[in-house]
Amino acid sequence: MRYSREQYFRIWLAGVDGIGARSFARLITRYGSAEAVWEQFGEEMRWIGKSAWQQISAAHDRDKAAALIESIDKCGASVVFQEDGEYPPLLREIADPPPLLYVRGRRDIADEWCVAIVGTRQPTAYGLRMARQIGGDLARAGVAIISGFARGIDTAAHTSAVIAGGRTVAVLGCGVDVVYPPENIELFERILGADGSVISEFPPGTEPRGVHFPMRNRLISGMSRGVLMVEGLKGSGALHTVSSALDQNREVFVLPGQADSPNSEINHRLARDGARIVTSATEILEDLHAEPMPRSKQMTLGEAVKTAKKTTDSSKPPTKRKAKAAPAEPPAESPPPPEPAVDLTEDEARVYEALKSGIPSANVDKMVELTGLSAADVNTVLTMLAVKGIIH
Amino acid sequence: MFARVTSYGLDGMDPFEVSVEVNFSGGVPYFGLVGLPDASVKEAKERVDAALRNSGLRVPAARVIVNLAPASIRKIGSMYDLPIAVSMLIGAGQLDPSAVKGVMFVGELALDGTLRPVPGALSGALFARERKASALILPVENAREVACVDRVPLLAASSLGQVADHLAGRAKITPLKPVPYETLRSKTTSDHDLAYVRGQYEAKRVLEITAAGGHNLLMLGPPGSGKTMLARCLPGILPDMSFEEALEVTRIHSVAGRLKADGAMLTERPFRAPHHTSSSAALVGGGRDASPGEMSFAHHGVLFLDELPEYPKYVLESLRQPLEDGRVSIARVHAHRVYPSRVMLIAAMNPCKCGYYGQAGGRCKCSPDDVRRYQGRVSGPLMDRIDLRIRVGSVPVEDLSLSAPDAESSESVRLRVQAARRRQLERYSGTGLYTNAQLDNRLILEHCPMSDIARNMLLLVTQRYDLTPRSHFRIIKVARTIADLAASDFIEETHIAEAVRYRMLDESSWV
Repeated sequence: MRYSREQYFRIWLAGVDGIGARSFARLITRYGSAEAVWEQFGEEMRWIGKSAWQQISAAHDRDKAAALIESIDKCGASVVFQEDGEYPPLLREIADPPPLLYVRGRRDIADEWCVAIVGTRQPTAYGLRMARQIGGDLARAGVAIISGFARGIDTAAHTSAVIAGGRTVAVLGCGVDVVYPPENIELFERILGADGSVISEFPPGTEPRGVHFPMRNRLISGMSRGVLMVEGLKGSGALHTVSSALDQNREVFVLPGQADSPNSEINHRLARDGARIVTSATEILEDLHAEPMPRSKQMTLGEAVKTAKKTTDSSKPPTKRKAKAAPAEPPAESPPPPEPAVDLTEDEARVYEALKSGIPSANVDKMVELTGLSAADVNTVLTMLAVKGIIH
Repeated sequence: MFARVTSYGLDGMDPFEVSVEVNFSGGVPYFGLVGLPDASVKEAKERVDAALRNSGLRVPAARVIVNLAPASIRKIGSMYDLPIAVSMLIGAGQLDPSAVKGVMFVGELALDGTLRPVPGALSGALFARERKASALILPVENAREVACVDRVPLLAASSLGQVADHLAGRAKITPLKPVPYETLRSKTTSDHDLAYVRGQYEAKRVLEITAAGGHNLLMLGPPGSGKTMLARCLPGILPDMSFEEALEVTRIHSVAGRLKADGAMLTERPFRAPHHTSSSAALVGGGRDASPGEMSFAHHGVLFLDELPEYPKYVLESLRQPLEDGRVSIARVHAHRVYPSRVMLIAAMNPCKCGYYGQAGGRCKCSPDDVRRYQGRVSGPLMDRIDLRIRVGSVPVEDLSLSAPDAESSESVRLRVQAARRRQLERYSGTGLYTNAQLDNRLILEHCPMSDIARNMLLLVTQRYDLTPRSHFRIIKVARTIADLAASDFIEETHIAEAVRYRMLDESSWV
């Protein structure tokens, strides 16, 4: 990737360890540009603070700057600057937006509709299931699922979006070339392969550190319209995401749980404090819908609500939908086609009908009863439908 | 005086000739038994003595030495009682040596002189035939076991007295009339018929494919979903055992003394379900005597391992080689034995410790780590040998009370399986293979021609599901069997499409 001279220096300055979004902003305000910071660096700049000054001093080296740029290219990342159209619009509005983001996968992360799904790294089966279900339904409705790529709920949320054929953005607390937790390597690849994005404000090569995660959490809530807290234990990082969401004036949704489940204690506390209780993707979409938004978007979302409503009863709604809220889309006279465009054979149509009636594709026995086909035929047809892209 | 009588011994399943030699000489009355007898053989002295007396046969007191030749091989068991008794009668001059020429004897004696059955009679009868013996005299209770053996006179005796009468020419025993194998096969339907299995259409279909291709199968499902019941139905849809197969199976059971109470030859495919607390010696064979294990008892049949992850890891690992080779070889200090073990492995497991992971209703309380650990107990190399993996769901209680629709019976499924097996035998004739399950990656390319559409389909699913080369080959293998069931020489698109569905559990996350 080619950078302008100023961009080059911005990458350098943002990549200095210890220079956060706030220090970056102060330096730019005072000197006018990152290039100026580079040129004028000296004793005079000590006002920035002792350790920050030392860090800049240590990084003030042409080779080091060049190495940083090279490492970005090497891992296939690109840089999205705050001024770029691809920068998440909502993120610009927070108190300390990162000056730039490193992105792998799809570079355009200015998704119109983002909802964060967060929760503990030690979820219950219930939490995982709900994260998958709501995440999948939201993704199918065209919402980008934002999460932190951690174990547990985060992983479930990303996975559900990928499986649903939807969009997901993983916000890392380390460099975009570091896979953490390591067992998620496959998910990492799948996100990149499914037109998702993996982003971070830390330069490539940055190892995961405890202090990074709270910083990462402000991005998760910052770029989203709402944050769904699925489950959380005391001291959970997800709670931090929720408090940044509140600071940033984002909607906070909580999933209800059992009264005596420690995993749901925080959720119930948040609900008492005013968070919205939600049980499905539909409710989240409805709540967000109430906010003022451009007319065309409203209609798009209205459709999404309809779709979600139709499908939330079954765990795996068969309708795939590319609900990308493209700005050019005409206002909603064309609802999503309920029937697949591809020609179906008679058997395929029968199985498809059965799927639409809400039977999960894993329950072959039920479908055999409903369609009158043999188990062999049902399984054959299911693969055919999957290959044709009609089901997942 | 000296006498010699022929008998046989067993080294595992393999018989070897044993000469029982007796020498009578003057001196202090004495009875000595030599020729590496183990404790069970040594006790023959007391049994033979009492049996002779109680049969009204007198042997004069003398210095008696009995030798079991070859003297270097260890002899085990009570089967030498009869030959020892007969040789003593000859040695004492009460029977003519010419009467036992070419005749083999085997049998355990009771104190009253009646004959008791011995293990390994079938191996002995076949051995007698091979050695062209003029007759084999054996206990009457072993008669049913050897009923099918022809081309050798088999004389079934009930007591020592009867044997003595026969040899003396006082009352001849008529040889057994060989029974054709076909008439021996029981026609009774088993309790485990697919017609009684409600729902489970997918599982039944997979069972059919498993049977047709001789594959191994893993069923994953919560408690009470009918995994065991389905596994028990498998022998009923496998092709009938051929005579040669039945002989092998019966021999294994016979040498271990594991035949049924009536002692009849086994005509139904074995179904063995060892508990998960079984030791590896019990499963693959071993112990002091290097005796056969469950894998060999299940030879030509089904080995069912319920709760697969509950088996100790080293036990599961010990199954790998026998599964691959179709035989177990056991080496001990005193014995090295090879037993056949061509089994179909049917494994069942819960998805997690509590069994409810992935079920609706949130009954599972296992953490993801627990689940991973539980499923990880089954090693990759063992999983590699399992071609078909399906999830078995429980049938809702309300469906159980409905009147059952007419399900297909095991018999009609078996006919299709048999036809598919025949196609495989024809295709693989001369290659030493019998079933699709035995194909390795190289042979798959050779024996699994695909239509262009099928190849395209395979490519599509490989990309879509991001399949590893391993599952890629496994799909072809299973598709080959599906094609055989459909009587198709080529693998078609639909065969691939169906086979893909049965590798659902390949992914690291099973649920």
